[in-house]
Amino acid sequence: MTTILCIDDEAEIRGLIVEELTEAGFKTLEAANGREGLELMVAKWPDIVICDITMPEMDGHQLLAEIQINYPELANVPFIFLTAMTDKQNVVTGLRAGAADYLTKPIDFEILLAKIEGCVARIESDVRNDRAF
Amino acid sequence: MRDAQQWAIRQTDGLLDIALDNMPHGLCMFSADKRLILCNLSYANMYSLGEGLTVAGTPLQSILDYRSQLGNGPLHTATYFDVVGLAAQKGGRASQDVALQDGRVVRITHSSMADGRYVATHEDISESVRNAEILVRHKETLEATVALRTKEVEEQARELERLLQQERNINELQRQFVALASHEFRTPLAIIDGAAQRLLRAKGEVSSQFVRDKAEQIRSSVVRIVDLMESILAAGRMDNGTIEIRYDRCALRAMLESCCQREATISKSHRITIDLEDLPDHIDADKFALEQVFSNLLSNATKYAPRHPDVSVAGRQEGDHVVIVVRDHGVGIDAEDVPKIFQRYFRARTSTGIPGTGLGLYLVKKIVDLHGGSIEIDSQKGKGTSLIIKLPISQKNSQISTDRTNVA
Repeated sequence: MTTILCIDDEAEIRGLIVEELTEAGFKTLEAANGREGLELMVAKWPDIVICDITMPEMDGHQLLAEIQINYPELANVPFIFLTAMTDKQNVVTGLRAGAADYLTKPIDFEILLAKIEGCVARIESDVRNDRAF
Repeated sequence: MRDAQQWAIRQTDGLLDIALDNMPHGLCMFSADKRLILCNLSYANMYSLGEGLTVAGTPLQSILDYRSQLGNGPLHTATYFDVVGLAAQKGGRASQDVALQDGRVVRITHSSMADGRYVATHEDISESVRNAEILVRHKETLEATVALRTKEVEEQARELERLLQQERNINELQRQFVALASHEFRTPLAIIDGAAQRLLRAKGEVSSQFVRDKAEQIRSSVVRIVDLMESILAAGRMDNGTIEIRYDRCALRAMLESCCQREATISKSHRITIDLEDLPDHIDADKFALEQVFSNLLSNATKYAPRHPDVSVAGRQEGDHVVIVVRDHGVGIDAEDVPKIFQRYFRARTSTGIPGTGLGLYLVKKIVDLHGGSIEIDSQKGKGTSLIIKLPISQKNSQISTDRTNVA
């Protein structure tokens, strides 16, 4: 079963996303900031990460940078920003740093699910290709 | 032949006398031992020389002495003789402008002859010297004016640059504010939208508890948006000076308790301890404005202390004032940022990653100031922050206090 890690400091937003993902048949993990998110990624190896930007302790940009630099084994995990920061600079910074997508709040859950399913399909095709070699 | 020639010379002599007497410049001729040989009418007139002094053989010194008495002698006798000496030395012509006692300036040109005699012309150049002086004075005045104006323009340019920089800083803060405000609105909107979508998309039987939970989320997010809107509007009212403080008997203790209760329901992970026993029951204050003050401070105390749950609110009476201290053990503020903390839109470095608009403490301070109170901040980075608010118990002077600080 695909496991999705949801990182957001707003417990209510996190709760609603998790509720939606659970109902759609995904396994979920929750973290309230980048630091907690990193610990869970290392411990549980989620398949996909959905991450907020503005958070205490370690924000979303910092977490993605930390993964790219110090955790190369986690760098291939699709990382989707889901944030209320809608300015171009944040979008560009996030995508340049290697995010799979950049979604803004409020989010239409159908679109969020579609993005996640797209990621799942890509992961599966990567796995098939790996086997072919 | 000879007679004819001499006649011609005599004829010429007569004409020469006429010519000499009618030339505008003074002309004189002296012997080597400085005795007058001849002079023309202009020379005599220039210096008001009587007939006794224009006869051949008069010593130059006598003429000079006479002129000194009259008050038209050279101002510095030495310079007068310089030109004579110089001309003799060069064996040719030398000129010098000589200032006279009466203020005139005369240009004297000497021509020496081989036998020591000399001819001199005296030209009154007072007017052109005066004109030149006027010109110089004009030039100096002009230069001084230009220098002054240049200085003024430079000062204006510096002032303009300073204002421009200030404007740029304000613009930058405003730009940040717009981004932050957008984020602040989008977060509760995301909760409302998310809750509504869940209500629409929930599969299977939906419990009444589920519906109630979602409705509550929606309602509390609406409150959050309204609060945010209020604080932005209040900041706007502060700016155009239209905010009014209406004093009433405010049950301070009860109001603080309800603010703490409200914050406790919003931030369930924090423990808020209150010690308000020493507070008087009522003070003269604008209840709604003070509510804004304390809900802001409490919200900051929990927001900027995500990992330190203890928040305390203590109040006491000090003479004719009350002192209320809201204390947290959170991220604190850099010493450098402390002086700027009440500025509009300013956010401390330690607030990185924590949402906010930079309006809260700006409003808090304005409201406290309008009440004739004071606010102090005691903060240590990484250790926590205390905000100490001091408010007068009674407002004697006026019923309505209006912020006019920003009204031109």
